[in-house]
Amino acid sequence: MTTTAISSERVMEALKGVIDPELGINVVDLGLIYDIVTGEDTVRVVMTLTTPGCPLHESISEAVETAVQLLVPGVSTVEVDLVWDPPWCTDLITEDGLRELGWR
Amino acid sequence: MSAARAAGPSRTPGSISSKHAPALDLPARFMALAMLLLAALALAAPWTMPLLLGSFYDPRLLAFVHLNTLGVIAAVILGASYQLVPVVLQTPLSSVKLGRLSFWAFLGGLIALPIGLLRGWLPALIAGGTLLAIAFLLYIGIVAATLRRAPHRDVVAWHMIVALVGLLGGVTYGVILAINKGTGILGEHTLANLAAHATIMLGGWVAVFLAGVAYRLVGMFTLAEEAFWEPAAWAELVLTAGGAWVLSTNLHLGGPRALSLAGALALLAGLALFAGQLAHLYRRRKRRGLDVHIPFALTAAAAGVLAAALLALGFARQEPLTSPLWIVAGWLAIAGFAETAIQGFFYKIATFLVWLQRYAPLAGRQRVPKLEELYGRRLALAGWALWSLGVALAAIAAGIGALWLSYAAGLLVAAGLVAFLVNVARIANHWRAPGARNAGQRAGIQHKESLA
Ligand code: HEM
Repeated sequence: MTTTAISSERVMEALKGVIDPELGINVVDLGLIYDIVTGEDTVRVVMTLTTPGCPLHESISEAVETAVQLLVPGVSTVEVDLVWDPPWCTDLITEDGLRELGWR
Repeated sequence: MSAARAAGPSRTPGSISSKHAPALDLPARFMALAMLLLAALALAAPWTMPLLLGSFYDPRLLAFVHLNTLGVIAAVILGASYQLVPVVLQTPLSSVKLGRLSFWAFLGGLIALPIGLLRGWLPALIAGGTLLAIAFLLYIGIVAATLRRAPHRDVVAWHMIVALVGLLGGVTYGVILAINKGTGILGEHTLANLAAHATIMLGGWVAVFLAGVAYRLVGMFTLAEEAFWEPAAWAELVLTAGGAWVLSTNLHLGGPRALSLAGALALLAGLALFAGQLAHLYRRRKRRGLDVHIPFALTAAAAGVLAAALLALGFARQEPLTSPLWIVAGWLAIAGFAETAIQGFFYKIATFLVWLQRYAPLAGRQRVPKLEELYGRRLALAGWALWSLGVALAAIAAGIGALWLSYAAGLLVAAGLVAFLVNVARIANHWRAPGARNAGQRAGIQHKESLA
């Protein structure tokens, strides 16, 4: 078992500050974050986008990297891995996200 | 190690992003030009609406039509496609340099052609026609080369391809008509060519292009991509483009009226499918709120259907050339369909470009605004209501020949455009010189230091 210096909850918290500017919802509640792999001072975020043609690609993955680096103490390297499998679908939106989208 | 959720195998295409989009100045200069033209058209609206009551051959109407079709519609389509096509196709634009050249040729042509049309002055007509032909050919070449290199071509890409062919046809007619205007070489065939030019430009290029863009953007904006009904989009493409080409070719050749009616009916069916697809996507959208582009897009689709229905009615009832019905159909296609859709999508595309330039470097470092915080939502909706009412009244005024109503319509159209342009100014106000990127990075570094 590896010692984990960085908690994935802390990373998730930091990522809640990154919004999709079009929808106004953060990337966590939008269901874009698939996995967070933390090491002693490294973080790998496995994420997707709502659509492969999303023009926000660079901006969102850079913002994710920056937010983790700035807001999670002890991180020296952040890797953002953008994946398309499984493709994102609206079922991945959290309850909070759905509320933001006007569902309840 | 912690895993929030198991991820599937990484299959990063590596080429899907806005990094393929050209420097922002290329789309921005076309957009800025279009906004300048819209401002001029807003000021002139109370005086230009009565032109719809006159003859479609009035030189002032011809100039007015091209300030709208070239200055607003074509300028936005060219600017938007230089931005969107690389993003949608996940392929870099084949040449940004030639794209910039196309802007200068377009600007020259946009100044010269309306002067030529207004004065019937051959040198300006030829200069305008030639410069516009150069601009459009450059644009067609750049987008076609980008399309050729695209890894895959879906129904949206095919809308772009078919639209380019329509534009090529429309430009060819346009240049011939421009030369004819000063020389009379077409003789009695002038009207046939004029009708073919207008039909293929509006039906075969503008409608096909805007439908393709809408399919791509609406699903994305409203989280309704899963509901997109692809067979209907293919059928719409075949009917809209096929109808426009049948109608245009038949008008050009002076063929039977029944064939023109068939073409108009196909166009009507295509546009009805487009409107149906939009309504379906909006009904099934996951983002429940009423985004500002929605009323614009639905109004545009309805106006497109109405324009095509009037066209079909005109052929079915054998309306004479002097009937106001043709002008009303043209007005509904130009203002009701194209310019309404353009305003709606402008709120999305231009706002996004400004956000990308100004706020993307700050994202993740500090709170950044949502796109809809860059403009006034209520003003946008008020603008939509005023504009739509004005366009509808102008159509009615032209149909029944009521001059006083056309003045009132002009005031409403102007008010709608002013509301839109005030929002455009608000959005533009967020635009900063590229130095802002460094400033943003500095802000981020300070933020990190303060956290540490
Ligand atoms: C290369 C660019 C273009 C050129 C050189 C051009 C040229 C012309 C000319 C010379 C006429 C008048 C013909 C006559 O009175 O004998 C005309 C009419 C017309 N054009 Fe264009 N045009 C161009 C682009 C466009 C575009 C982009 C559109 C629409 C999207 C358009 C729509 C129309 C319409 C609707 C008319 C009929 C107007 C009326 O009868 O009042 N044109 N064009």
